[in-house]
Amino acid sequence: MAKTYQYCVAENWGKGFIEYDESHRITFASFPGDVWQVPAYNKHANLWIAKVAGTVKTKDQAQTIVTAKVDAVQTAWDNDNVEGESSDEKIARLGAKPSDITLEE
Amino acid sequence: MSDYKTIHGVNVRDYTADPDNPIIGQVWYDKTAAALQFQFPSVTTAGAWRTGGIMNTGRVELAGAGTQTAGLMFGGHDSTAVTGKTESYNGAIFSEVADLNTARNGLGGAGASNTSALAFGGGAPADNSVADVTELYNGTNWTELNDMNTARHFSGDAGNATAALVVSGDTGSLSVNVESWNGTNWTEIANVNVAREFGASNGTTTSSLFYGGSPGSGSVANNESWNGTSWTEVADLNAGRYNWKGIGASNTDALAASGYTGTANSALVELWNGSTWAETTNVSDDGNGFASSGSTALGLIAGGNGRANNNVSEEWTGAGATVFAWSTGGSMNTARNLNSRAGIYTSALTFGGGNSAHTEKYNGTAWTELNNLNLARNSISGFGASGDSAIAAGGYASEAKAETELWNGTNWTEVNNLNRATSAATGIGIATSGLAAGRADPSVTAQTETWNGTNWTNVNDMNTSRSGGGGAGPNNTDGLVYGGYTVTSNTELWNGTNWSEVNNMNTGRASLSSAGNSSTAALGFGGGSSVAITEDWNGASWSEVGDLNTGRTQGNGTGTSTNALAFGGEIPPNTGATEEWDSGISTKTVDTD
Repeated sequence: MAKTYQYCVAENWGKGFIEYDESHRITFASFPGDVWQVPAYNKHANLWIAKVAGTVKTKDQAQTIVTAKVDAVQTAWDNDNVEGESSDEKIARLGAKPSDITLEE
Repeated sequence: MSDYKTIHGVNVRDYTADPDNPIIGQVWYDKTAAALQFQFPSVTTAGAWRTGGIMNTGRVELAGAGTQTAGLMFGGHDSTAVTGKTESYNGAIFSEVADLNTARNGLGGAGASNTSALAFGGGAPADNSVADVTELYNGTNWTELNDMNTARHFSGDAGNATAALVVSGDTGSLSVNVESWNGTNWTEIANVNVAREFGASNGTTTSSLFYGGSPGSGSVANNESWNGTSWTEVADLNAGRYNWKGIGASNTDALAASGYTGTANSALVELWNGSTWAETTNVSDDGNGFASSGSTALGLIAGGNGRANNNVSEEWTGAGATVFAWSTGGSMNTARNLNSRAGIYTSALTFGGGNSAHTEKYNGTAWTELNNLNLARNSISGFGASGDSAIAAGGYASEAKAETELWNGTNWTEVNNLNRATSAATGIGIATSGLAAGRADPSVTAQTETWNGTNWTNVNDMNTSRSGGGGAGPNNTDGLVYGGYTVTSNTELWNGTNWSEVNNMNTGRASLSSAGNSSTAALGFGGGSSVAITEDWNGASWSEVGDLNTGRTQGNGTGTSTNALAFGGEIPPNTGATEEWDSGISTKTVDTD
């Protein structure tokens, strides 16, 4: 099955990391661990990965990075408690517990 | 062979990559890419429909005049009888104005705005009769003027209040008769070729089009062009439809939307360029018997049969609309969530968040750390006109807080507390006039307080309790709150006294970010489980636009619906990533093959 997405790891350095023209042409999605998802077999996406010196990852490699990060923040969320606080109050204070993330091929 | 300079008078300059500030149409040689490139504006290539405002009185077979943002809808048949009710539209809200003197349905309408319109013919006093009555609306009242020569209903209509056409229709039987209005009298002019009722017209008294309609049963696709002297049959519609109204400026510019085929309502929309009809983006909610106003660039249809309700409207924006997108900006110095906001695109402030008192200012390029809040906390209700003027109200630090601080560009100073300790209230306004709506702790409420620059005052609650909703608006008398916890898509408008519900967001979510200094132009983005979804509010409805590049929740935003910032939040983990929302110019490589 042909891939829909490709993945890379690149640190967002701020201004110029994703330019208007790139955002207009490419659908980006970012994930924990500086993992970026962009369209596969796409000239503009390939040029962007080269520009940001992204380290290309397979979907499985990217998934491992994302899962490790999500596990860490889920543990931190579980351990952040206030005595006497209800679960609803905790969600109102912290937001919902971060969900697992499954990357797409 | 001529070279580029001979043709255009300038040489093509080499750049290592792209020029710093290219202008539309500029051509240059990109040495890195080894390509000739040029700049072009980023605009849509197809039109789009979105939900418009809701009429106060639902009805069918009404008439319209004016533009998309200054429209007038009048007459029709409501749930019980023909009506003379008239409503004025400002692009967001329909307001009732003076009724027609003669209630009627199936009437014709023409006019340039919501203060200058003509109503003629129709079914009156009952919907099976025909009328010759003409009335003029001047922005305040309808006044009776000279009658048409031939009474009729379900005709075509075109023009404005001083120069209009009434075309064909049912005069007791189908008629080819056409009359022209000169501001004082109606005069019979050349007949159309094919008599029909429920046809659509648009244009002027010297350049018009008459298309579709019904010859008594079913629909026809006939299309006739008027040049000021005679009607000529031109290319048919792709699909015949009737009981509709036309939009467009002339016999070379028309939009034919929706309508009834004879067996079903159609969502089909066609654009006429003077020689052919081209199918374009369908309406969202098909129907017939609606009114229309506006142009092929910015159109409006309202009311009608068969739609979700007979009081709804849809707005059309033609191709060529500016495309907005998010690009990365300078990252915050301290990544955090539940941070607050104030300011605009080029002068923004974020403060608090996490468990910190950090204050950072954005200058359009980079964030700079400034003096801390006096009280470290998160989930502050923040608002302010710039990075030099802001209010931080309430928040959470072990418990909800009532403390309020004023930022003068250098320091935070404690000012009068909120009346009620409040965290995660939506902040709207400027440092001298704002409001805080909703609350997270110790329970989620709909409470609202307004700030006058000195004191907080308890005012009427929202209709829906929430915390962490998005907010937009200029001051304490005009605001919009949307989304929030518990997960809601609900949107409410504040008029300084009361909250009223308006159209919901498409995606309900908690902990979203927002931008907008107006209650009629706002953005909501991110939230929920770190989604990237961005929605745009135009005063009447929400529409999905370009996603954030970094989906996030519990972040914040500021600016306007055309120049906005998204900053901070949690991906997870916490982030200091900033994104800038604006219109841009795209670069295209010249194909030299």
